[in-house]
Amino acid sequence: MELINIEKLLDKYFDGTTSIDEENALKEYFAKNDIPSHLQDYKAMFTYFAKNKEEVSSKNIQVKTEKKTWRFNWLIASAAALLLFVSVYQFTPKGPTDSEIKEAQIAFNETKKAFQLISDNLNKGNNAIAFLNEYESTKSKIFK
Amino acid sequence: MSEKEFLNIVLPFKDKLYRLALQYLISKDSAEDATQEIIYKLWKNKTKISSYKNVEAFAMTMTKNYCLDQLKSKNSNNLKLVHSNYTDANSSLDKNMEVNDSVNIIKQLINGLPKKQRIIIQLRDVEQYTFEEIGKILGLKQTAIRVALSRARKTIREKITEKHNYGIN
Repeated sequence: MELINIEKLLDKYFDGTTSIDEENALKEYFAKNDIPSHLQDYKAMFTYFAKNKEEVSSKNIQVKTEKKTWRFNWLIASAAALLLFVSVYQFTPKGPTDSEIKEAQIAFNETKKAFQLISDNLNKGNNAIAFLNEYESTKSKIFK
Repeated sequence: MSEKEFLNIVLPFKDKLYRLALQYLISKDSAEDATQEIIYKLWKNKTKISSYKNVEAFAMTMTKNYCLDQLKSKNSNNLKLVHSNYTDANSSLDKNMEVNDSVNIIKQLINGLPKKQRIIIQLRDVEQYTFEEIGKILGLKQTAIRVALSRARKTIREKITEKHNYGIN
């Protein structure tokens, strides 16, 4: 393409009125090596546009697998549920066993015996106090 | 729709999604994630795909919205860190060649443009979408796109000549 045309196109380009085809013509022109020095500055600009298009995503696209975060959440949820289940099972009070019942019965009987003993001795003391009271009332009759 | 059919529709414009995401998010990793996410979303709605008039434009709009959400969310704090890593790695990669150097300068100039202009340059000058398609993707009027595009191109031109005249690199 002739230089005058290129300059005209450049003016249009900077006004934002070039068509895609015209812009492609400019890109083609600036891809060459023999650019007049006063247009040399624009070469880098058009080279940048071409080079930018070479920038590609390097990751492979996966659509079938679930998102990682979700899988992780389910793992946490199931672990928490399991923990809850285990702890509930572990800490629920269980009924007393037979040997425990027997032991408790023995302890109860022993305690009963002990209380009986205390009560007997207490009654002995009470009788003695009743005797003292008798003495007191007789004494008050005599010494008025 | 089978996975193969789906991929036949999606893969031709996968890299366009990626490059658009890259313009928004700057970091390559984030752009990869965004691309993956958009394609995953499309896959989940694959029954509706045939009813879309223009799947590609629709996917580009999704990418735009997704990236804007990403930038708004708290993640945006992390992006800046990644951004500095990214430019370093890149400039050292093709530092040696003179052409690449001037191309990198253009890249930096474009990165310095306002976001809207940067995206429009990407969609028009790199991906070669028509104004109508860009209007659909960005939800803008065609005249507004033309004005922004012209402004962006002129800014690049000014900056290039400035650099050229003063020899600043």
